[in-house]
Amino acid sequence: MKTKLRVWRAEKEWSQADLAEAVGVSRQCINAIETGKYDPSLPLAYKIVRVFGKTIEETFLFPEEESPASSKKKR
Amino acid sequence: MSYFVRPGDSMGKLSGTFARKQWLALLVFYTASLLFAIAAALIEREARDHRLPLLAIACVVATCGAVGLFQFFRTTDEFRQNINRKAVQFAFIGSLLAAIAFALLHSFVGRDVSPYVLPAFMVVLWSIGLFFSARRYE
Repeated sequence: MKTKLRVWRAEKEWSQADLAEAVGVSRQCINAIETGKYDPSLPLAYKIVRVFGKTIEETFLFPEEESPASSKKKR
Repeated sequence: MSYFVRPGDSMGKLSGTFARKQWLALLVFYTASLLFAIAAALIEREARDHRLPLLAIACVVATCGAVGLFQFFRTTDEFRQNINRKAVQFAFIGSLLAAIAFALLHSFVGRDVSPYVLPAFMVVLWSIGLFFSARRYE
């Protein structure tokens, strides 16, 4: 899943460690989310977006081709 | 490896605390495992007179190891829990296969494997699983 975390962080001039500390996880967790290697849980996603004052839809971009709804439409 | 962050790393305060607690918990667990392995080896070899105190030591050490492991699980965030879950899956499947192999060895070849081998095998597999799962996220 793609995210805009890096952009939001850059706007605030925060490091990954700063964000990790703000939401209570490790820096590696934030790095894995930013690089799309790990999808956060819903509670963590909410914590992250609240820190930046954004919504989940704005921050996490779910690829259309992966969505179950879109795959049903294709059939 | 990203999973095992050294306590001195220049990360956030909280990440540093995570790492420090994890290192301590892992250190307790692996030390206890090593001591238990030594105690178990001695129990198998020693005469009956020494078995009871060795067994008591082994029980204490095993309890310390279990506490260390429990602390390790508690000090992880959801990302590391995810890595750990994969390592546990790997260790479980490996141990299951090993247990079947030992049972077959006993049934068909008549060769008995020490019951202490299986927990040691689980710890080794879990460690390998942690290493490779963590590498996937690097």
